[in-house]
Amino acid sequence: MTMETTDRRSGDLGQRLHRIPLAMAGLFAVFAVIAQPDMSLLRGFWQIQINETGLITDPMAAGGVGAALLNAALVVLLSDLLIQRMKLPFTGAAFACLFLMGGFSLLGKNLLNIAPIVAGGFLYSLYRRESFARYVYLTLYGTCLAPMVSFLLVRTRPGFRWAAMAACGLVIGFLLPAIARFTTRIHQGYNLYNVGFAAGILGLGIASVLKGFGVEFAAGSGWSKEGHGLLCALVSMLLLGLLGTGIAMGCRSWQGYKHILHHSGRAVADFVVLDGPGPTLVNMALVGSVGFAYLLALYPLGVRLNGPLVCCILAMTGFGAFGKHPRNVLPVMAGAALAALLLVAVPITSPGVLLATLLCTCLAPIAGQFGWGWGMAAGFLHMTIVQNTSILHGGMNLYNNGFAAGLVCILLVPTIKSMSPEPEEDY
Amino acid sequence: MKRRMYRARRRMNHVISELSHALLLAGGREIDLRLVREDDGLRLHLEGDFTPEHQRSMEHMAKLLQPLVRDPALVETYGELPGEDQYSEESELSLVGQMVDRSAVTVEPGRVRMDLFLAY
Repeated sequence: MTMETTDRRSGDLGQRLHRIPLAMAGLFAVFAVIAQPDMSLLRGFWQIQINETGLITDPMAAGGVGAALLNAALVVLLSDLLIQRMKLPFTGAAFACLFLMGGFSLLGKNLLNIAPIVAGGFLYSLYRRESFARYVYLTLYGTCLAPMVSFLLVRTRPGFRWAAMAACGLVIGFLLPAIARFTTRIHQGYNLYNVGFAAGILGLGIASVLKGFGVEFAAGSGWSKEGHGLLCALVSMLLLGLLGTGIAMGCRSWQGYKHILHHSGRAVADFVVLDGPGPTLVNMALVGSVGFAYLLALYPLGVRLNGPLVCCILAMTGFGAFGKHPRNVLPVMAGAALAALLLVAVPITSPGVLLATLLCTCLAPIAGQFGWGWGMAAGFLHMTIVQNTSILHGGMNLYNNGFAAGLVCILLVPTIKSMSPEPEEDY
Repeated sequence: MKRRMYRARRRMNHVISELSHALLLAGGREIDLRLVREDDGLRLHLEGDFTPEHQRSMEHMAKLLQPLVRDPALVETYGELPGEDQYSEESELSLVGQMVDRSAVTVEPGRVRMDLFLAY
């Protein structure tokens, strides 16, 4: 079999795909207006920009459901425009990044606190004399430390706060790409939220230095229970839209989809590149549905959709294009839920536990590579470790689950490898 | 220029490590490897054999090494992973496909030839 040479052109794969995040942003904007059809939308939006954020603050509690959705719409729109401007091909990595940006705009990111970090990433690319396109995903993911920027904006004395905020964001954006590149070697691609791990380490460093100067981190918390019905409708429309688009793009049978389930999910498992856009979109809808169904199942126990929980569903959905599929996320979630029931002294419906149960799916490659047993062990360990990591960075790393997952990988991956037999080779 | 050469060299080391690993796993007994420093990049010619039962996996590898799209941002994040361990060659071979700038892979019964180019 002979295959033709390919060159570095992007081709036309994914040209149509970039409309999907734009459609998502449009959907957020429409629901924002439905939720707050008056001037309170803009007032709430501004309130979200200047509010202190961190783990776990719900912007819907600060500015209203509509204002939070408007913030998410704008963050997704600008992030998508940035990726398009870089002329990067639209692959699973872009889906994962944009859905994560949209999701975490409902859990602490806003236009104001991500801007200096993006500028820092751009400065780093200038320093390296390379195209910013190489660093754009790392930089966008790096905005998970945006609460640090907001913290300085709110807590620093007037006259100094804008400079402090800008300097902090620039330092984070400048340093994070190099750290994130290094941390992939530590977890070997088994933690899909790699930048969360890197940001946890950088956040630990910055928080420690600031604590040395007497700064005390006490991130405010907020947990809205309003807008459940509206958010259910939003998530349902989004997931059905992805499913319908995937079917329309060619994934019309089980045969067309099932190959995705055979990937371990270990980075880099870009399903758009490996399996094409149709199966990928169907998979995104299915993975998001797993998280959505889990939360709906807890409805009788008082769980209602809000910003952080929609964030988790969007994070799962996005990484349905970059490593996660139902077969590798379910064992990890089961392990985390089991740990929550057996070990953690907080209810299974508490905010931190809910987030950890859904976001521990960043360890899905462990289940995909080593089997469901090790996947459950990873989820179990994750649930216990994540209870103790937030304090290290003062709650300033929004991807705290990515940080904890990196630590789980350090503990688990070498252990699994040392206990696994060497693969058989033909000789 | 020196800095970019350093990066290309590092990446080529990962590429060679991963590909030789994949061919040995496929039962290869002999691998011919020729690395040429050209004006604008490094070119790797690689030829090796494999056992018949690995024909399909080699064809899959050829597909992974010649992706329809290449994303430099992916390489920036994960470029250090290929050749690092013995598991999941699919994800790492996929990364190799992303890392090289041009690739031509020919798979015949029991034999594979590759011409991979990595620009500075």
